[in-house]
Amino acid sequence: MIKLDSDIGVKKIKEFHAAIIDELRSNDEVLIDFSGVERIDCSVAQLIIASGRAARAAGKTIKLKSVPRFVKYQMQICGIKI
Amino acid sequence: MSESAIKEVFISEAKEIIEKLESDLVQLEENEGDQEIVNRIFRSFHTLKGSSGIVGLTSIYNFSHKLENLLDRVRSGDIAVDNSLIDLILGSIDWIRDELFTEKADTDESKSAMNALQQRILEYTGEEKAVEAGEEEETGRAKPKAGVYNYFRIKARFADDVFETGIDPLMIIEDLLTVGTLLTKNVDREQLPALDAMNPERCYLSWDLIIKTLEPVDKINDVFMFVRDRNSITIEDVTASFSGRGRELPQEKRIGEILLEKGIISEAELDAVLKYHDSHKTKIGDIIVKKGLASEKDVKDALEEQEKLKKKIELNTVRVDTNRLDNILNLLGEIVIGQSSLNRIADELDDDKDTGFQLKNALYGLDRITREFQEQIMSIRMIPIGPSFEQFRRFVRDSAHERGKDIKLVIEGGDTELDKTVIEKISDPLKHMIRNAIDHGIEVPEEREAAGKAAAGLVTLRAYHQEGNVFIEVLDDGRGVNLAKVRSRAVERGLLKEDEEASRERLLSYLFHPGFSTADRVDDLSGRGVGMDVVKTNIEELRGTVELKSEEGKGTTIRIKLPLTLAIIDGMLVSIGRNIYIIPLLSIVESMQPKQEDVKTVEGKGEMISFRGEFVSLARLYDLFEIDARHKNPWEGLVIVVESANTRIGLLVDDLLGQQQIVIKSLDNYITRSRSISGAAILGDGKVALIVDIHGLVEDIMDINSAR
Amino acid sequence: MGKYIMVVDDSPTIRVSVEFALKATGIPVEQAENGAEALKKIKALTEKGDAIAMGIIDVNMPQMDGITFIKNFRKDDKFTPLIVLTTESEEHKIQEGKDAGASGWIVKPFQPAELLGVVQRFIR
Repeated sequence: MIKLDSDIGVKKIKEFHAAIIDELRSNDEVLIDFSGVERIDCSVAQLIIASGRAARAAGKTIKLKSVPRFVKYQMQICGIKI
Repeated sequence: MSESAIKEVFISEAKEIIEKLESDLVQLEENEGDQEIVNRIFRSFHTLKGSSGIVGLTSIYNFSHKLENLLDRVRSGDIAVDNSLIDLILGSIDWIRDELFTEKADTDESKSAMNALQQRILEYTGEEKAVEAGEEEETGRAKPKAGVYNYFRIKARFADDVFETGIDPLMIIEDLLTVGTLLTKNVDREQLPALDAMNPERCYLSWDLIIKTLEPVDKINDVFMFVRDRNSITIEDVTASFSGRGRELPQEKRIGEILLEKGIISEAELDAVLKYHDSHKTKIGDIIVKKGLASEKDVKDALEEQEKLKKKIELNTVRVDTNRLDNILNLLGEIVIGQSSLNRIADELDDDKDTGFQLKNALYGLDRITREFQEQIMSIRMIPIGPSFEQFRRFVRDSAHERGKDIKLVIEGGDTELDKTVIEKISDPLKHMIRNAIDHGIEVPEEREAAGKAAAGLVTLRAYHQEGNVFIEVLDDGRGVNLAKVRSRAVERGLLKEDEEASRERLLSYLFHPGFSTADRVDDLSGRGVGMDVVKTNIEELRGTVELKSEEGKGTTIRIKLPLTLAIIDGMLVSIGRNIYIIPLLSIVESMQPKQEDVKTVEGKGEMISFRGEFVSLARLYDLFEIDARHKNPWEGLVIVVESANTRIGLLVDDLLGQQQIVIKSLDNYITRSRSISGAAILGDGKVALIVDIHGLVEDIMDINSAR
Repeated sequence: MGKYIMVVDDSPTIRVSVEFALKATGIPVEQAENGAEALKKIKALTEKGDAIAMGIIDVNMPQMDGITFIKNFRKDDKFTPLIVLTTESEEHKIQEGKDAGASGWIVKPFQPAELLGVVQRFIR
């Protein structure tokens, strides 16, 4: 499971990127916990898309947990169906 | 930090700058060629300009701007330093000092001194580019929008290093979606590499969107202001391809207009013809020919064109009984109610289960369609206000003549569309207001000329859409409301104590008090009064508000704000005890939970809470509606700050339940006669919730508080 | 770990006006008189574990001007938004600022609400 910092964004995206790659390597299901996250930025959204694709290709799943309403709206804007 | 404190900071900063300037100038006198000193002087005026601008001292701002230009030319070697230049700068500093620290500020003496100095500066710098007049425009408010939807297609392809300048494309798209409604969205994810190949600090997403908005293209340009030059952003006006839904239908035209458009006759000529037409009742075409303004053939052609246009309009239109439209609207109301039942059920479903998500998604989609549906039906009921405005032309001229006044009526925004019922219902109030402007606002020609105004008075009728509301304004450039007389009348009527202080707004608000100015007192007031309370009641029945602004000697503006639609509003559901109330979303400023120390009781004003540095009155809704509440302490419940007519108050409620579209059912006044309730709505689960009338509530609260 | 908006301007009037205008963001404002002082203050803040959410920078300042400051700041921090403050007589500076790595700009004098509007284009 990856618990996101409340101020997740481009400044912390490298660590998040590395963490996802790492988790996907060793688990069939990766849970990303959005609780406490008030908003995301474009870098977070595209990383979610890319990890979804990578998981699917490997027959694994990424699950998003406790995504606040506004963040869902933001994801929709980026074409993420949730 | 308050604004007056900022001014204090400025005064002490200005003092320092002036001292520095003086010592620099003395040094410059001794070393005329010293570039470093010239630079310092330039920078001082530059800083002074910026700071004075911030605190709103325009005369100093403009003046130091001119000095800055002068010094810039000295800096670049264009202008040589000599004794007379140093004299001029010293003289200018003296003027600034006087303006800032002495009583001379803003007097005629100081103005003529400034003019003399500016003249001398001009002798050095030559003619300055006339940019100042245009500057006002930029900071001024955007022009009112026409009531027609624009459709824009926006393609936003961001540079891959866009994050590196502190820009978040997602935030920009979010902003864009606040400008208008999203119609289609296409997120291009093609550029996004595989997870382990991507550089997460680069941007790979781009958007292709179509939005619908009442706003002009400028608003969209604003959103992209900081990213346009480095990213590929295209904004295309595609309104034409949506014109089936737009309002591109040909308009019926008058013969005079057609000839005017063709350039055959001038506007002045047309005016003369129309005047003649009014008094002689001869056909316009005949008058034009008789006066030799156009040939018979021109007029014939124009008549044919008029015929053609008429036919075109008839071909494109179907007549529908408005009752049928009302029926459709009522049915739609039922759909919205059904939909909110579904929403409630969906909300109870588990978010993590697929079905819950899917249902909610489907409902989002349905919601969008119903809104669009509703807008379309409403737009059928919408007609331009122009004809309704036009009918006053005659009225204005006749009443003006009767009173020996010369008054011109100006109509702006005639193509703004309003609900048909609304147009019918505001006709009388409008007439009242126009009559007031003519009778009491505009002065007789002699009085106007004596006051340095044009002999002919101006009454303007203006309509425009803004932020989901329709605004109608009646403006006159007459003598304005005599506040001193309003005051004495208020004292007479016991509304105000002899020695009580009253703000301008408060005094003006008395004009809306029932019977405040009876017919025989009107001339005393030399302002407004006749039936303003009636006007207000009429407008409030339409869920609108009236606001009056007046400047003595300059004129009066009455502004009516009306909701675009009458039957459906966006509301916030709140709970108080076991009751649910609805607060119109448009009135809500913010909701918050105050700290205990932020709540105070102020003598004569009742309970107040601190909100963003100001104190606002607190209304305990449970008290007002005489019901039970879970939270009686503001720091335990929630306070919703609402605004009406520039007054903010805080409403104490138990909890927010969420927002939804509300179909208003009229109360027919039998449940409550309270001004604080405007209607009722049936919720998804069949419960009835009362809709809080913020406007009435604010007035009630203010009345209670002033009676304390 | 706190977050700050850094305002850098040699005029105290501008500094307090910015602070006043940005009250509504709820983010505390740190002031510096010039680029050099700002760099120093930012270094001290980051050493304490605090962070800069945004910078608002005047271009024309003694000691270290705004453009030089931005260039220096960007060496360590690519992503923090920086807004340039200019007057209309130095609009060419906007381009210089952008080239150095500024995110946006606002022309003095401004209304508090205008500044707030610009700031909210970058941070929420």
